[in-house]
Amino acid sequence: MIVQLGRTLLSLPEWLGRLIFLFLDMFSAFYVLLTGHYQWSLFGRLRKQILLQVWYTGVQITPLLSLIAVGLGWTLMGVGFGALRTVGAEGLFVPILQYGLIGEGLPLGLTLTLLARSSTAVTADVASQVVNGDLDVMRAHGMSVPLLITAPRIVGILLSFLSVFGVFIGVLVGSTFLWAPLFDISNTQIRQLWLSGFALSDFRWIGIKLTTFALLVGSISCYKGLHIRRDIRELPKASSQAVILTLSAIFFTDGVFLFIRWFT
Amino acid sequence: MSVLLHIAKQAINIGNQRFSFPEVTIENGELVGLIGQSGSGKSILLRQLAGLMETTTTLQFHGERQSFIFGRGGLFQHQTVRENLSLPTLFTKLSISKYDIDDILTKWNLHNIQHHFPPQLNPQATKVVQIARSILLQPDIVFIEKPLAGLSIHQAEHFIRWVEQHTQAGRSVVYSEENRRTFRTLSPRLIDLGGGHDNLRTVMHR
Repeated sequence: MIVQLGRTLLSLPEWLGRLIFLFLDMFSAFYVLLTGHYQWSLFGRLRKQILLQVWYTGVQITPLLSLIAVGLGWTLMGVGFGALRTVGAEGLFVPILQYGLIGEGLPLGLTLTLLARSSTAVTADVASQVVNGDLDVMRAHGMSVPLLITAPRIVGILLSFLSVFGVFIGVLVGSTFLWAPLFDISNTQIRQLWLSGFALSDFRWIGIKLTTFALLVGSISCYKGLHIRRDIRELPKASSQAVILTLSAIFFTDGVFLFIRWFT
Repeated sequence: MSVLLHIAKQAINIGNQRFSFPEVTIENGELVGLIGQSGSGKSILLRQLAGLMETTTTLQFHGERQSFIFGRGGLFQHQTVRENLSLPTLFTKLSISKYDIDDILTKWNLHNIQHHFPPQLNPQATKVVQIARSILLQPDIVFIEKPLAGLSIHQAEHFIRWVEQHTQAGRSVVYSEENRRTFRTLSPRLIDLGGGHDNLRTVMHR
């Protein structure tokens, strides 16, 4: 087990290097596209694929996440603010909301939800294209694999992460106004709570975190799918490996972010 | 004639097998056939030349575009026949309109199946779609696995005529084949990969 752990730790720099190359490939493909080496109508195709990814990753999960946001709104008002007010500690509510929920809990929670939904799907989708020979056809005809496979998925996942977070926060704030009268909290109080709970720097920080998480989810899922052996039995293995690897990378990165934010 | 593609002599291990390939140089306008028995590595060398498999040496390609006609599959499974034809053209600077695609669909009798997906096609139609894609792309070099396999006599005639025109226009074709009759129909410069093909030579000599 120690040997296995050692191997895993030693392979981390190699993994990082591979992911960096995946991004470099993607950026160079974008450069080639922008410099007019391909037909301009490729932009339309790219847009369509990105929107399709946003539909699968972001839009389809929105109703469920909105319901969760409404439930969380009730919990915040009833259990959170109500309980703290009973013991006379309502002053703690804003820091808990600001740092605990909005700053840390929500980005991580949403990432894990979206990861569970899209990581296996993206890996399986890409891997199936490798297995049935689509990638060979692309390479044999000089078609850019990063533009057709990697870029739409990574950009789509990134847009989904940011938009889903926006929708979630919107529904959460709205629902607290909805639930507040039930717990004898005035609208003015709620408005003050939210206004003091948010700062621009928080959003910047959340944006950096969500972007990093989305890039990790997208790139690792694509990478695991692209580097599968051409055997259909490898597909479930690659999908589960992608989830485990992405989870580890996200927890590790979140730890690094926490350290940077609070201890430096 | 100038050199279009070059790969040095190499030996490569794939699985438990070791393959030794000769140096290959393909010039513009050449028709080259890879011969050898089953298992001699024709397909491997062909895919190496097309950049689809790793090599133990350097591959030099001095052209702009290439195309590959696969023996099996070779089409995007989730795209229609029409999309399979149009998608690769987006990665070129060729001005190919939808009328050009209509034209080639009609010429190769694919109009009725243009909205079908590859799993709905028979192997013959799959091959014809790949040929149509290659014609549309106007590549500097076309790699073909078993060029005439699965084609009707009429389609094969059409295809041979296109190969002749293609090479006369200074573009190249490389194919791998076991069927001796193909070498008589499409007379190439042969690259011998060994593996007991003496019978084949005799037939060609006759």
